[in-house]
Amino acid sequence: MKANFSFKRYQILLTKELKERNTMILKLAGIMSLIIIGIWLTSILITGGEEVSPLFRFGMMSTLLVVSMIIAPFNLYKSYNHPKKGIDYALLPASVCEKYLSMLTIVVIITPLAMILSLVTTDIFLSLITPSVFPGFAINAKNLGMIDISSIYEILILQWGFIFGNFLFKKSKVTKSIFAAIGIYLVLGLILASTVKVVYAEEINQMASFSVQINSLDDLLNNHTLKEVPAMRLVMYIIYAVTYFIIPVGSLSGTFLKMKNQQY
Amino acid sequence: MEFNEHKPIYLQIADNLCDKILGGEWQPEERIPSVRELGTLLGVNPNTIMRTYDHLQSLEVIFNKRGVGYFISKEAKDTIIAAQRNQFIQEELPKILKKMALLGINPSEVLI
Amino acid sequence: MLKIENLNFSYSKHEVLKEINLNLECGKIYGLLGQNGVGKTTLLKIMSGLLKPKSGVCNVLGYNPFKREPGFLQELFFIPEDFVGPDIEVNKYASLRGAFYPNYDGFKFSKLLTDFEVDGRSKFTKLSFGQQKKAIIAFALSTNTKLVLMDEPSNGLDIPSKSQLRRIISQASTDESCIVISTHQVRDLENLIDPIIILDTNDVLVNASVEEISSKLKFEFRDTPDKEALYCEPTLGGYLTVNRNETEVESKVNIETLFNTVLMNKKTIKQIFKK
Repeated sequence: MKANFSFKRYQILLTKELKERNTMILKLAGIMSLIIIGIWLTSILITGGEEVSPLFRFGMMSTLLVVSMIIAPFNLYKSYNHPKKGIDYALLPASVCEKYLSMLTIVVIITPLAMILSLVTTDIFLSLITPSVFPGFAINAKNLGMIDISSIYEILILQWGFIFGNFLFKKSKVTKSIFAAIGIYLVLGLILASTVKVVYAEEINQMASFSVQINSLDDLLNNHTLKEVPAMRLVMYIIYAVTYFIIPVGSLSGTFLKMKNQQY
Repeated sequence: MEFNEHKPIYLQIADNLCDKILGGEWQPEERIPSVRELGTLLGVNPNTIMRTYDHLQSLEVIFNKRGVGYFISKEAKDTIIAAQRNQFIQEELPKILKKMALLGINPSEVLI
Repeated sequence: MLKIENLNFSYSKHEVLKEINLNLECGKIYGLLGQNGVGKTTLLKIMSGLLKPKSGVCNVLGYNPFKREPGFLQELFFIPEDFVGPDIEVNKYASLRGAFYPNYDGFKFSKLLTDFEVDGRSKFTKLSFGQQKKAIIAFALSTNTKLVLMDEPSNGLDIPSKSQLRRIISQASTDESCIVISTHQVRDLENLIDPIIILDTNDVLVNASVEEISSKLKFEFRDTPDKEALYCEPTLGGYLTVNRNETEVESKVNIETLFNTVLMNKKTIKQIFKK
């Protein structure tokens, strides 16, 4: 048991990883805050101090957070599977389990928290000094109320996929990961669309105005019209299982296996 | 320290240490560097130095005080001189005599 | 401490190591020699758990290296030929990583850095290739691991650093540790490496101490060539020959000459060194 996981060693490892990466994390947080400052400056200098609503800023900040979460694994753990640079980390006396968990701790928890802290502080600071431009804080009860567990989970699924991409691909990791992500969603979308087309072939022929409004997987699952058709229901559940279960579990365990079996 | 192409290294190091004793740089009953110290100094494998010390010990030039280190024997100088005289008379002198005979040099020509 | 049995390895279809058997003991500084491409680096990488053998056994201190268990990694240090350090200070690198090695000695590290004339306060990225290499060698030897594997350590080092390297390695070797050094630059490490291992693609041709080699082979300097010799090479003012040693007298083992002799007489050499 101790061979695979020792909490003390995990702590030492986490400390080491953070001390080596703190500048990179701070840089990333700085860039994100600079974008908020950029919006603020644009409003003051270009649009003559027109106000930027808390809702807009909240949306902007959420987007930046998601972007930083996707960039983080590439930025912080780029050289892990590099044939030369990766040796140093692979031979560091800690178990794969400890390395894996410390990596996830930094990429999934610590980096996003640093981003949130940096973004929120910047927003609060700017709205305090120029209430006319930034009226009210972006973080308020109303905006926070819009966050639901499933959207947080969807962001995490996306991030885990990119973490896996970072360990799976050796060269042009970012591009390949993005294309892989797009590819997977296209395939899922095509399966869904073609099922709809087959199942509703008659209706589509009869009514040119047939349309289904789907913005998220939740919409899809709560769509009663679709649910009533057994074939549709099956496809929906498959897609649901793939997105919410197989992809994240596959990404996380795939990353672990890649770390464990990487050869240099 | 420069090594030549003929003798094994451990013997060359032994010769060098003997020269130090004959030259008075190392005095009888003095402690000499440990195997590791000398190995580090010369950048030579410690096992080679170990062989050198074993060799010198078997010639009774040095001795080992357990747990303390290696020391130069009281009689080291005499032992070395005796050994080197022996080697000179048996190995080097015949070669010189042979060469002198070959070149027709009379011993009286070189004796001062 | 290290045992390899019937080891096979290939890169996709290119076979590198074939049925290799090797035994390494504590308290020695092994010199691993071999022509380009026989798989010296591959062998070191298998020993350190970076590559997985296709078949056969590699056992280091009772561990299977490729499992990369912390207990094994704590006792191993592998220095790759072209080490490139991360973008942090040398001292910071050492103190952060030293914590993972139970026998790490920080004082030794600073001393070795001073010996090597490397400034520990600079970042790896600011140092030359040779300086980076000296820094990682200093760190490796300060971790006091039982097994240290070095791939071409003298590559990229200037002349004074090479003799410094010999001293430092000699100093670092202990009765409990085993150091394996692969090298092309035999002269850089002559008198330091002993035993000598000569690797061929499908065989370990020699794994013998210098003492054993000089008791079995006679290295001689002659005025005339020797046609009967195992090996004969013209040098300045004569010929360097290698024969079987039938006497009790030992000669100095010239490793370059030994290497050439072995390559030209693989079968005979195997027989001479058969145990």
